[in-house]
Formats: sequence, C-alpha cells, structure tokens
Amino acid sequence: MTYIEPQLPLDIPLTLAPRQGRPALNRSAPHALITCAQGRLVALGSVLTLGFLIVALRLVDATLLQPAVEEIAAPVGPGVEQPLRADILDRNGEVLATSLPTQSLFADPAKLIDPVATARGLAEALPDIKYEELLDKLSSARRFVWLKRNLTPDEVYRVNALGFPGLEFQRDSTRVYPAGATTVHLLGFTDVDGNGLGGIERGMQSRLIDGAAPLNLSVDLRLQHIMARELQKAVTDYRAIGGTGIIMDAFTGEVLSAVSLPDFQPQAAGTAGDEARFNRFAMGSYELGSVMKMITTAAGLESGRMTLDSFYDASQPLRYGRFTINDFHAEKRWLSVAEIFTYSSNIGAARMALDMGPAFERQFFCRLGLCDTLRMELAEKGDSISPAEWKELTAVTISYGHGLSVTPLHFVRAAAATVTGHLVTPTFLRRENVRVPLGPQVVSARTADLMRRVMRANVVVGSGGKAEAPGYLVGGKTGTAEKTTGRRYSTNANFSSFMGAFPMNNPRYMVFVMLDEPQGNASTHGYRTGGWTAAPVVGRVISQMGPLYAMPPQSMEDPQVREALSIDIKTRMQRRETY
Amino acid sequence: MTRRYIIWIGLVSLTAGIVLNTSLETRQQQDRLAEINREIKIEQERTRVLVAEWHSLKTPERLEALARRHLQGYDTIKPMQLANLADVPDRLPEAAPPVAVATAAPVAPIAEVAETAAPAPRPAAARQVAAITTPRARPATRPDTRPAARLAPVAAAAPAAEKQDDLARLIAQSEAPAARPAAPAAARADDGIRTIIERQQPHNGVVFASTGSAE
Repeated sequence: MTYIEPQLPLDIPLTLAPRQGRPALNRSAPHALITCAQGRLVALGSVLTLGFLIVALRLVDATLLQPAVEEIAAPVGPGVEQPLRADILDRNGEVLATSLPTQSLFADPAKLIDPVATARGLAEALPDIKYEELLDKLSSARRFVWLKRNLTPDEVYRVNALGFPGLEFQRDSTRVYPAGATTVHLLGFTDVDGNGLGGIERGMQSRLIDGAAPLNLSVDLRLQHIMARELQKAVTDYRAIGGTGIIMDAFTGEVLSAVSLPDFQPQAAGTAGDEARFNRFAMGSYELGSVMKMITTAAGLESGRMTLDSFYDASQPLRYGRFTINDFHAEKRWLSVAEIFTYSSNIGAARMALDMGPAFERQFFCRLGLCDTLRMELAEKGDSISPAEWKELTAVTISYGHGLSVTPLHFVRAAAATVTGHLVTPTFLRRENVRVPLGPQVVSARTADLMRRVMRANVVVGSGGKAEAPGYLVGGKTGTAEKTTGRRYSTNANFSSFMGAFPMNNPRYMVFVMLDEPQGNASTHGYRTGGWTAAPVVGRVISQMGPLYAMPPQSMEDPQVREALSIDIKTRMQRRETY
Repeated sequence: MTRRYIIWIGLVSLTAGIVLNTSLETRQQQDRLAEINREIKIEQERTRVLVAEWHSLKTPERLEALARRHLQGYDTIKPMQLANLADVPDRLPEAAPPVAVATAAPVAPIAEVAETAAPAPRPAAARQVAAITTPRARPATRPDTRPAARLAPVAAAAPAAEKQDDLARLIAQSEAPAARPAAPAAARADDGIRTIIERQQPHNGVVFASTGSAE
C-alpha cells in the first residue's frame, strides 16, 4: 500500500466524504483525514460491538434464562382440542356414560373438482346417506358443509380410500351409554354437539363439559337393572301403558335406582315417542291414591287426636257435599286407625282427616315436602300440584290420595320421613355412607315407630301381602288411584302402586313401584289394584336386592324383631289380633 | 499475534459447534417428546374405547343372559342361603386345637351354605375359609382354659362392628353380650363372610350360588 495523498490534485475539493457543512480540508492538514477515518472506524466498531453484545445477551437469555416449556407442553396433534365430556359412573364405578373421540366428515364445496362424482363415491362409501342429499350439500355455495358426524373407523378408511379432494375430517366426540335404555331417563342424552338434553346430562351440563374428573352418581347399575327387568315384566304381564320404579336410601336420600317405562335407546332419542320420552319418576305429577294414607296416618298420629286404637265409623259410605266416599273392600263397621291403614279404608281416612282438621293436615303434608317443587340434579324438576285452598273437602280427598299431585320422588321422600322420622334431601349424587338418617326430624320417633308396625302389618295381613320377600321384613302400603280422563275420574284406568320399605325394624331402603293402567289377568283374578300388580314387583326386587347387599335375612320369630314390629290390631268385635 | 487469532477462532468455532450440536439434539428430543405425547394420546383414546366396550360387555343385562345360558343348575342366591354367624349351630369340640377353633370352625358352615352347597368335609371347608379370612395374631394365642374367649370370633360384639355396615351390625345385634371383649376378631370373621359373598358376585348384579341340584 502506498501513500497516495501527494497524487491528489490539491486544488480540487475533496469529495470522498460528502458531508455537508464541514469545512473543506486544506492542504495544510493532511493528518486530519486519517484522524477522521480513525474516528469513523471506532464509531462503526462500537456500533457493531454493541450489536453483537445485544445478540449475545439475547442468546444467553434465550438459552439459559428463559424456561423453554411452552413449546414442549403445547398440545400435540392437529387443531385445537376441546376436552372430552366427563364420564358418568354409578356408585360402584361402572361406566354409565363416556365420550369417545371420533372423526366427522365435512366438505369445502369450492375445492371439489367434480361434485357429482364425489357425491356418487360418497354415497357408495357411506350407504346410510342418500346420493341426492350429498349432491345437494356438495353443490351448495357454502364453504363448509357437514356430511356426516362421528364416523366409524371403517367409514373413515373408505372415505380416505376414495381420495377426493375437498373432503376433510375433524376431530369430534360421541357419547356412549353402555347400559343403553336402562339408564336413559336418569342420564338423559346429548345432541350431536355435546349439549345435554334431559336428565343428569342436562342438569349437570356445566360440571360435565369441564372434562374434569368423572361424575359419581348414587345409582347402582345392578339395582337399576333388577328394577327395570321386574318392572318391564309387570308392564308386559298386565298390559300397562308404562310404569316407574324408585329405590332410595332412606338414611341418605341417595336414589339407588330410578326407572321409567316405556324407555328408549339414547342414540334413537330423536325417533322415540312422547310416551317413551316422558320421565315418570321426576316429571310426572300424579294423584297417587291410597299410598298417601301413609302420610295421613302419620299426620293423624302426630296431631295427638288419635292413636292406632282410635275408632272411626266406616260402617257406611261418607257423604260430603255431592261426593260419596266408598271403600274398595268395605268392612261396613267401625274401624281402628290400624285397621283403616291395613285394609285401606277411604271412609276411615276421610274421617281421620276431618278429625285432625284441614289446617293440621296441610301443615304436616307441606312439612314433608309435598307442597314444593323438588329440585334435584336432573334437568326435570318435579312439580307438586297442591290445592290453593286446603278446605275440608280437599282435606278429605287428599287423605286418600286425590286432589294433591306429586311426583313419585316427592312421595318416596315423604314416605321415608314417616318411617325414619327424618326428611332427607333426595339426590342422584353419591354421598358418604352413614349409619343414621340425615336431615331434620319432621316426624316424632314415636309416630315413626308406630308407622313401621302398621306398614309391616299391611304386608303380613293386609292388602300388601304380595310384596313380602321372605327374610327382609318388608312393610308398605298399596295404592290404586283412579286416573283422571278429562275432568272425570275413571274407574277403569288406574295408577296402581306400592310403597315398600325394608327391613321394617330399621328401614334403610324405600322401594316404590307404580304401574300406569295395568289390566288384571288370570294370575291376579282380574284385579288391577296395587296389591295385585305393583306389590309383587316390590317383593321380587327386594328379594334380589337383599342378597346383593349381603343383608342377612331376619325372622319374625326373632324376639327383637317381634318387639320392634308386633302390633295389636283391635277390632270392635272383641277380637284382638296380634301380628 | 496470528497464533492468538487462530486460538480465538478455534475456540469460537468449537463453542459454535457445541451450541449447534446441543440445539440439534434438543430439537430431536423435542420431536421425540411430541411423538411420544401423540402416541400416549392415541393410546389413551384407544383405552377409552376399550373401557367403554368392556363396560358394555359387562352390563348386568348381558351377564344375566350369559349366565342363564351357560350356568344351568345354578340360581341366584336366595335370602335363606345367607346366615348370621350366630345361627351357626355346630362348633368343633372343645378338644380341637385352638387355631382351628379360632379361625375356621365358626365360619365353616357358612362356607357350606354360601360357597359350596356340596357337602364338603368340614376340615376342607374350614381350611378354605381360614385362607380367606387371613388369620393374623389372634385368639390362637389365648390361654386354652377360657372357652368363652375361644368362641369369641363367633360371638360378634358391638364396638368395632359399628364401623362395619349392616351385616356386622345385625350380627352384633343378635349376639350375646357376654363375648364383647373379642370384638376385633369378630369383625374379621365378618370380613370373611363378606369375602365369600363378594367372591360369589361377578361384580355386576348377578349373584350365583349352586342350588345343589346340579350335583
């Protein structure tokens, strides 16, 4: 490198550094150029150094300081995934409802090359969709059309094998109910977009879409099956329109089984008829008939105006206004309260209601939760249709179960209170096991004790004999309500029911069965009453449930059992019957 | 001067090489992790499908139908096939070795009722039950001179039984108060029955025991 400065024509102003406003260099300062260049080099050097320093610092920060977790923890797989709807389990962990990931097929018609050929190919691969329907969708102007939701793996394979462009899959999920129709009224079902429709699926929607831990119900699938099987048998045998059955833990209020017939397969919900879709245990409000005498009798005993040995005149029909109240099995004599209950005398119950007075009757019935809407975890809420004014006539009809409509769940809860003394809050969610009844005491221990005795007597000698399950000390009350058709009560159409409890010396389980319009047959000698149609169902359910729950049988001969359940039923004919 | 540069350049290249290598390795590991996560997810979904299938295969309805078809000569347990320990009439004679008395004898007849209706010889049934009840240190160690204590496991008593459920309570209710001290052993004997009962249940509503008619 040679020093070139002397070759520069000194009279020409230097233009190599076109900085404005600088005084031109003069020939007297040749070192100024070098100084200037050095200054620029330093400046450039520091800028570059600074730049690299920043990069280096950022590198240290990025590699050593920043925790690089996001990328690793990020969800894998295509698309944003929604958590699957939570499973529903029974009290023993059996799966009642679960969600399975599936693929759903959609198309972007704009991307199709040949809609006609695509539609034809798809119609062949998916035989359950019509060609016309497919062509219609594929020729539409929209950019997104669902072709089919929730394909089976086999169908996915066949569609992929077609290889048409414009057809795409999206992750979806489908709801599966392993027990099918057996649990359908309880659980409800979901629509194709995973919204709960009816039952627990709707009532607990927000809890289920969290995709959190499975939901444990109080229901026992084994009991649900036993109840469904026995109820279905009765509905078939007696050619009933339908029926409902409930098993409830009288201590905790947990519903162990709730069946409504007719039922339907959850995946065929769209095509099920209204009768099948109707939830009889939670939504249907019924005038339940004579089973209500349980509440009337408990009310009478609580009122202090009568004991089981008080007598009422049932010798002739009771006229009240334009009504005449008759007995189904008329004894045509004075009956004690115990007899009125055991033989289910309407006249006697009416006289008891008049004796205790409408105000007390109303107060007692409402205290047992029969006047309020029953809110549970189901979407269906049970309405009580109680009279606006509880007059004498109302009190009389309600005493034997007409004029007050409640859901079966309402009634089971109130009935449990009459035998345990405590009003539980019924629930479909699992609770911890307890040894004493929960809930506030609404019936005195004395009355509950007497109720247990008369209920047992009703099965031993009264109308509920067919509910007996040897060894399990079943007690209960039969009911045969006349259905209203239009504005009249029909004598041909009945709701026949039985409210059972066992073991009666310390009732733990309530079993209720009701049949809608059963017809008598040869085995019932033509009777369609609760004692002939519903009571045997309760008996069969209990005799299967007892061994399942490892409950050892008890004998009426056992002195302790005798002491707990014996009863003297007095009659006016100087006859004392001890059971 | 030049050597210093070479050393520096060498060091820088080495560092760069290590950094590059590490970053490549990290990426590889991340890919592997993602792959494994994907596989886990697929496996989880498969498991869900299998669980759903398993539960639809073992619905009470299906099991019942299968049992009716294949278990002929068997029937569901009748209430009268269950018994209280207190109702068991036979006990081994006093002279029997204490271990046998303590663990097996009281429960044996129930084994016959609930488990095998076939009249198995007493000692066999006893051994079977003894195996189920897992005898730990218990009345066997008690002095042989106290017959009440030896019969303790049969005579269930209240305090511990309160924690058990109905069965234990019912047993306790119907028992003689004389034998209270031996409560824990009684509770275990009760577990024995429960075990037998649970063994009878294929977990799903269908309880089968031999009616004896098949034999």
